[in-house]
Amino acid sequence: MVDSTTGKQDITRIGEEGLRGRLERYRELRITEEELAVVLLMPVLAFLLAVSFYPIVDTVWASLHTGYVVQLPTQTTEFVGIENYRALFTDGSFWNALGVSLFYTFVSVPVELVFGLGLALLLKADFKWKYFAQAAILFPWALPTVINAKIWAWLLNPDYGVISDILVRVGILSQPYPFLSSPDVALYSMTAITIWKTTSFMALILLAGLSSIPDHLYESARMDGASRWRQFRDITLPLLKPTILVALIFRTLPAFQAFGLPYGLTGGGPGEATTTLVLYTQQAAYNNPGPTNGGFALGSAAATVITMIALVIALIYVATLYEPEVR
Amino acid sequence: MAWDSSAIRRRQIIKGVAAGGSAFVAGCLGGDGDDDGGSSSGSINFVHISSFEPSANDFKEAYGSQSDATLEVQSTPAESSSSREYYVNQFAAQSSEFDVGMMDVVWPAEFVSAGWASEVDDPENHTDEMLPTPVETVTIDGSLYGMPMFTDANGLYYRTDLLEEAGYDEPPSTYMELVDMAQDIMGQSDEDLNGYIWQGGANEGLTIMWLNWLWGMGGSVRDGDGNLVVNTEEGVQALQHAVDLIHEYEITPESIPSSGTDGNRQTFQQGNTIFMRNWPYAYALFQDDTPVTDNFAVTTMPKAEGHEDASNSCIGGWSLFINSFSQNKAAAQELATYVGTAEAQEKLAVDRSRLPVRAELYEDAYWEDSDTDKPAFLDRFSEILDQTSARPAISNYSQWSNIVYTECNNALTQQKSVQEALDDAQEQIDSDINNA
Repeated sequence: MVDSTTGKQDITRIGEEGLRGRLERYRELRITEEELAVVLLMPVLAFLLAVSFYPIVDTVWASLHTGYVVQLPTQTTEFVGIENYRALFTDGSFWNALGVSLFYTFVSVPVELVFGLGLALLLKADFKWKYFAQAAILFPWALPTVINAKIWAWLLNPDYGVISDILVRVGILSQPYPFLSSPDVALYSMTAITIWKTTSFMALILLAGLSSIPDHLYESARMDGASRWRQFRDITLPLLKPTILVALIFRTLPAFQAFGLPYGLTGGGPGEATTTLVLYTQQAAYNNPGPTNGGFALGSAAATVITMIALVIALIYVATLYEPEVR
Repeated sequence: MAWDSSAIRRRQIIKGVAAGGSAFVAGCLGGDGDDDGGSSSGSINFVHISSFEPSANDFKEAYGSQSDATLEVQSTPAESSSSREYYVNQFAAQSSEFDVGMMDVVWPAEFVSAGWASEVDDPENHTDEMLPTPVETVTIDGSLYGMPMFTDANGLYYRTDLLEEAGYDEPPSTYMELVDMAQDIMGQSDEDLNGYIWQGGANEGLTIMWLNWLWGMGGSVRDGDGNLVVNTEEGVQALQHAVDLIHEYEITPESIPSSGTDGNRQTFQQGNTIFMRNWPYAYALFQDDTPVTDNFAVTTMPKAEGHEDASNSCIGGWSLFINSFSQNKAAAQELATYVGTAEAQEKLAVDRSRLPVRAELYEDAYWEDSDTDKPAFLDRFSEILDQTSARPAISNYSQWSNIVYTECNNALTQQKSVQEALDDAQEQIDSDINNA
């Protein structure tokens, strides 16, 4: 919190005025800057507590119990400690889903970063249709996920999908290929689709970062005879680091929590080849939601584990990329 | 610091924040701000699957003319599995947002054991007039928990023109006849035809397909002790046959392991497919000016050699159930009673090509007294309805089915051998269901 000197004086005065004086002041609705800040933040805080923190705590609670964790008055839950986690970690499907999510995340995000940076550098250059191009590349990102998934499911369909058709016509394939029926290719396809869809979002964040780098740095570098590559390596990249950190976190966490794309594209199949962690969680919860079954409890355990892993990934990013005040 | 004009402005801000904050809290706690709060208003809420929308709107009118209450209808996002998720969410929150819903034929055991569906009365004894199987599916421990609305069964759709051209006047009646016929027609044709398409994606449709083959081989998924078994001899043969259709006989396209019901329907409708397994709804859609209109027919499911009497069509269908948490069960009961009437059943059959659950509608005599002619599809499907079996009635059916279709799908894409896939499925079924 930034303090003006008067603010500081107020604080010392508050220390001296005592409780009675303070209540007196409140009755007249006279408050200091700091107190105003607290009052203004309260609604947001209350909102976050209600819609974010309470569900998180509730999920962790549910993951430690069995029975009907979404409680009916007639049913009781029972505390079981880490039993749900044990069930989760002995389930082969969970490990498979973890593998799928890790592959999907750590293949798609780096590729998006490289492509997005290239795109951002292109868009930064001055050309006639600059603003039109900037708006146009956002189209894939603006598509709702499930609709995007359905569009690609049709495009990839071997019977009447345009992708097989084109590849056959130009002679790359001899016959239509069922992309979504082969376990490996289905996962690669899903990863490629997400790269197509979110590279533009990455580019937009990075473009904002590029725009904030002062031009005179490049000018002086040019005067010193630095090559374009040197300029990129020694000016652009270091100064872009904070933006890259934000972009990585913004893309990694949603990728790690992918649900809509596999749900709409493949339903997690073939077999479980594209079942991501969140899709696994949803299936675990809803396959078995009744009062005597542990579906919601198991799902809560899975959700808690996903949150933990996401937190660790974010911390690793921050630890390796965060530099206070680069400039 | 002096208390100047900024302090006055601050005062106004605080009042604003306080007002906005309390409004927000009131909004959170209110909940019942604008709904009709159950019985007082005399309106009931009917939540239906999306494809049922036209019929739900028909109900509105009929219900309004018979009852003091009014009917509000609302659609769930889509079909069976996502509708179930919607209902489960509502139940978990003990919501009385809706009073009546639609129950798929495999849900009653789960809904009743969880205490989510109320008992339904049958004051006019409609169920006495109904086909036995749909009534059995909603009867648990001798009580009725849903009013059957329409039924469903799988049939084999085939292209009459293609069979004729190749010199066949009858559709196949056994598995291998179908294979030979499809290979022959594909061989004779200059076009690139699909031989046989079916639901092979990792979803409920594949569980049903596998059951179709298993039942057609005389198998069952229950052993003598009532345990659920999938890796029996017939189970393995059934899945092996499915794998062979794709990889050995090559009459089923390789895209089938990622296909679903309606995608199959669209493929068949394009006109490049000889055989398809599907539900009755496709029949109505093929009537209006498609490439296959007038060139297709539907028949009973083929069976394994020597099992001509097998009942291997899977029974489907929907009933109307009353939400346990409803505040307005009496008015909900009125709707349940209405859907069992001959009038409602006839309307569903004539306007929406839904298979009636009342037996009399399959008789020619019934239609002689009616203003409309007997819909043609009733005759087609009445024979199929005579050969149906039901999926296991267990409270964790969804979990069982999920295990079965996931592992069957692994075998179809040759990630696992047939035996291995079903052994793995059995292992999960034993630990999660049989011994749970």
